[in-house]
Amino acid sequence: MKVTTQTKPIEINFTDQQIVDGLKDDDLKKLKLFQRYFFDKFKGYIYKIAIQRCLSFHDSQEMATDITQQTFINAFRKIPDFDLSRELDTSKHEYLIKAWLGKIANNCFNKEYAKRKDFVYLDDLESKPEEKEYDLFESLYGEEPVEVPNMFRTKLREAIQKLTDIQRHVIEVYAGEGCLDNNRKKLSKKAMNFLCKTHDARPDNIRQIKFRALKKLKKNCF
Amino acid sequence: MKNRISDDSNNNLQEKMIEQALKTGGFLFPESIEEVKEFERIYGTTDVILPVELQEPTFLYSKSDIGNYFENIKSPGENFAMARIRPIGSGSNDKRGSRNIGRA
Repeated sequence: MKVTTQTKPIEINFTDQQIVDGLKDDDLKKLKLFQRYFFDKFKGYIYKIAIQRCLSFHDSQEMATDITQQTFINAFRKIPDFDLSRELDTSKHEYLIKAWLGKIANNCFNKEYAKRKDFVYLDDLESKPEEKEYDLFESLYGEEPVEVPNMFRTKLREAIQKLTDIQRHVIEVYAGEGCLDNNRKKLSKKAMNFLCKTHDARPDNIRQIKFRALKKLKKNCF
Repeated sequence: MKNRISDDSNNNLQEKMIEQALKTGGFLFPESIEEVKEFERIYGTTDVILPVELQEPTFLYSKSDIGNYFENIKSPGENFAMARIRPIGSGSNDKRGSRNIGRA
């Protein structure tokens, strides 16, 4: 695959709010222009993480490219539901957009992962109507983070390398849903179903895989 | 009893730390403002080398859209003038593959 250094993004004089509003414009010329602005501004961020996530795959660059492209395709479809004006502090807008794209990109990663396991993952986690209590925008704020020392990150990176492919994927899905600690939150049925189908296993097996993987990580990190 | 509570909270903290490190260390895409900030604090916001496929957003108006468009024209003389390509997100009910066909 050919690679090239990133071309300088087009000079953008629009605010994030204006770009998001532009993505909802009915005028096709304007719409295309704002899609271009949005893509140029955020493609590097998404690809940077995608390539890290896909490192363990033999076709990591292709996979990361597919995930990046699909993330933007899905984002442009879902843009009508994304209301950036709810946050009055404009300095947070860029972070909110990145967090929102992150949710979409994680879903795209799961689809790509399932494809590589010969499992057709038809269920789009975000296209179905959400539960009444679920507020997409609210969810982008998250919890107060715990402090993670750099030394710990290095140890975790090494420990992750020692996990099997399945163990790693199961741990990532649990962590993505904020369920590594079972007492705090249970894994959603949808996510469990996805893991069972992808790895051709039963829920009990998945829980066992998670338990063992977590034990290994703790042993290596603490 | 006191020891058990302490063990539990220690376990919870360990699991929270692992979770946090996975979410902000490039294992998962950050999904909240705080996670994005933490990720950018660690990895910075410098440019990355992008593949050519990501230089231009041509995939938004992909060959398949155009291909499907031509495949679905039964009588070109009838439909050609009416059809036009619409980019993704320009219609509320658009479905990939068929969304651009024959919309005036």
